Amino acid sequence: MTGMARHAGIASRNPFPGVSPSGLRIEPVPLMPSVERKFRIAANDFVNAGEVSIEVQGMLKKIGFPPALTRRVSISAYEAEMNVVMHGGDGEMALLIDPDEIVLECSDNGPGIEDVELALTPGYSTAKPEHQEMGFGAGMGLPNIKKNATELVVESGKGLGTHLTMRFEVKA
Amino acid sequence: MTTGEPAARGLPVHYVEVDEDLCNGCVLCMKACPMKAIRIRDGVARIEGVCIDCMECARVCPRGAIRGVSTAEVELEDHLEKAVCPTSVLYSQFGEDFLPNDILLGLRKMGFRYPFDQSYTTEIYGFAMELYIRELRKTKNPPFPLISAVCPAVIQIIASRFPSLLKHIPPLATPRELVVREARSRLSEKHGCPPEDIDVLHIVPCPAIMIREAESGNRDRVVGIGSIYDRLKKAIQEIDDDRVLHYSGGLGLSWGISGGEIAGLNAKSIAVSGVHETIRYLERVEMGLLSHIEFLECRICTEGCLGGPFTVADRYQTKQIVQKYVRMYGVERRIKQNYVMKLYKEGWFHAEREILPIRSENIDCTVHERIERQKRVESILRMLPGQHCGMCGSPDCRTFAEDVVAGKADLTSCTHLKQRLKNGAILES
Amino acid sequence: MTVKLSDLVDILDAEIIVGHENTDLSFDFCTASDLMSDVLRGPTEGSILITGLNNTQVIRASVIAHVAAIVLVRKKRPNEDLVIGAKEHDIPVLRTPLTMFTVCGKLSRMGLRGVEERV
Repeated sequence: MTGMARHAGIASRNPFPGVSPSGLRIEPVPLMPSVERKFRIAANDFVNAGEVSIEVQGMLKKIGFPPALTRRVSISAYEAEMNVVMHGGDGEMALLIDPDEIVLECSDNGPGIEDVELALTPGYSTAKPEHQEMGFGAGMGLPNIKKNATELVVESGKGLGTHLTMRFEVKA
Repeated sequence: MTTGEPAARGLPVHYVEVDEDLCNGCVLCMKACPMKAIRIRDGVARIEGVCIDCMECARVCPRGAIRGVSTAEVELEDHLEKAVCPTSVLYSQFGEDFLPNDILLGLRKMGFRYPFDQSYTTEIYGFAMELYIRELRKTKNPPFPLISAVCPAVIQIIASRFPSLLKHIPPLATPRELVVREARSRLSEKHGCPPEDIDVLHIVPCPAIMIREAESGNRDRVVGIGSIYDRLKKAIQEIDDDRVLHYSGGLGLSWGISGGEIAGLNAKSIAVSGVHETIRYLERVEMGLLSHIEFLECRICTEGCLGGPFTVADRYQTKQIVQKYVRMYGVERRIKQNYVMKLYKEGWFHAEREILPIRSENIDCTVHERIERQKRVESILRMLPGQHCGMCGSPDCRTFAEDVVAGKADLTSCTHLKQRLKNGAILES
Repeated sequence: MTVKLSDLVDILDAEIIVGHENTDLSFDFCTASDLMSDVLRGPTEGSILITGLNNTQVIRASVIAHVAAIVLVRKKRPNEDLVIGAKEHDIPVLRTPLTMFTVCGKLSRMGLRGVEERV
């Protein structure tokens, strides 16, 4: 995963709807209703840290997703948001809501993750001691997101910022 | 003119009302409301959504047009034979020269025959809560953090906005409910009649207590501290009686302060006060961030019940007085632990209430339909100027967009949009 | 000057009603009143209470105000409930035939001080 291109903005979703990986054309996928919201995250702003994930939670509650799913998404948003706040480098979070899938995209221009495999190892944390004492569970990081999301894609590299794509399947 | 009639769709009755003759339809209360329940219609403020009786609106109204309702604009003479159950906040309202016992004796001097001291049940409730937490620790997935049931407005917030947290409210009767129960049981024994026939006069620091009392369907009356203050103050200075009616240590007296409920509790706990802070914390609980905490004390009034809207003395001065009581009376528990454990096992602390969630609108919509609606909300929002001026009658642009989609408001109410429409901008249908 | 429970028996010609096992308890401060609402004003923690009031109100006030021992004056036969309460809360009770004024005078000469002198 290292050395990948830096994403300055929010990555677009599948650019070729209706095309399977092998290239065969299939029926056009009907445009699904999609709610999209974007949020800014300021580095080192601990007063407002967590506000974005609370907004995300509020939106999912309003739409009426099952509480367990709402919690998984909100916690992932929280971890992603806290990572941005803690490690410096402003960021952006986008929330995309469809009836069958919720996507969170979080990107920042912080120092980037040197070894993504290591960062995904449960128990590993780069949270500074003062962050871990804050009492809100800061420092569980990427492994916690991986546990909660249906799919997590991490694109990062040293000095390249970080882009997370988190997908959550909505089961019937 | 009141706006407090119970509405359809399960909206709760509320005990805050706007005097439409005094109201001039400025936006201050609408913007202050943490539940976004107020709208400006026909030039006056109307409480249309879920009101939790926090009285943030009353606190900001420059014309004094909003007030809290209690049942007794009371002819106190009618209540002299009743049990009187004052909040322990009452004790600190008269300055530091008067002790809790003096206040209770003052009530007797006023003519009330049966004042009951709530600080005693507060102390034993604290221990019962500890017993309950100890039990829960042994179970799998205990509903931590438990959320205090003492502030009725917090229960309203949870029932309407955080129904998934209802299971965090412990099934223990609050100190106020306990002392009222005690009062009824003792007087019913004395008078030889069933407990339900005993009427109680509650003296309270806020209108939110009304929610609980009205729901129980009894004939109790509720009066704010402010309504009896002058008469009680006079009576206290004329006490000629020497009974000891107050029976607790410092812990039982301190719960009126934010943090007082958890002060003696041997459990991992946090105390939060203020309505916005409370909502923020409930959101965190819902996210699962506070599951390492065992007990969360929330009060919607800043600094706790001492800061309630029906109090008379300044909350910071009364806080000092309560802290003085704690120094005087100490923080050791005075109760016999075995006695409380016996009561606990007999189910004496069990709460008689059942808290139902407040039904929100459109529960029959599918997720698909709701996403459609939300998409419409977002597209309307993009058209709005984002000034949150309130001229449309809704507190902010996002809420206005939601009101439009819900059919509660018309797009043309936005004066900015109306202007742009006139200038020929394209409107999405 | 510290005075022990056993000293009180001697000085005041007193009889121990409750607290026979606590004769080593010591006291530095003292208060005297028949008005329990006054006693509640404190700071009476650990002190002796001299009183002529002979009912359970005395125990109630003593528990809240942390009084450490009670001396009943004028050789009053202690009220039954008072005795039960005192045993329950472990508060020694003595009775003396002397009057309140005399008791106060003697204890003051022994060096006990009033509760308002506490720091």
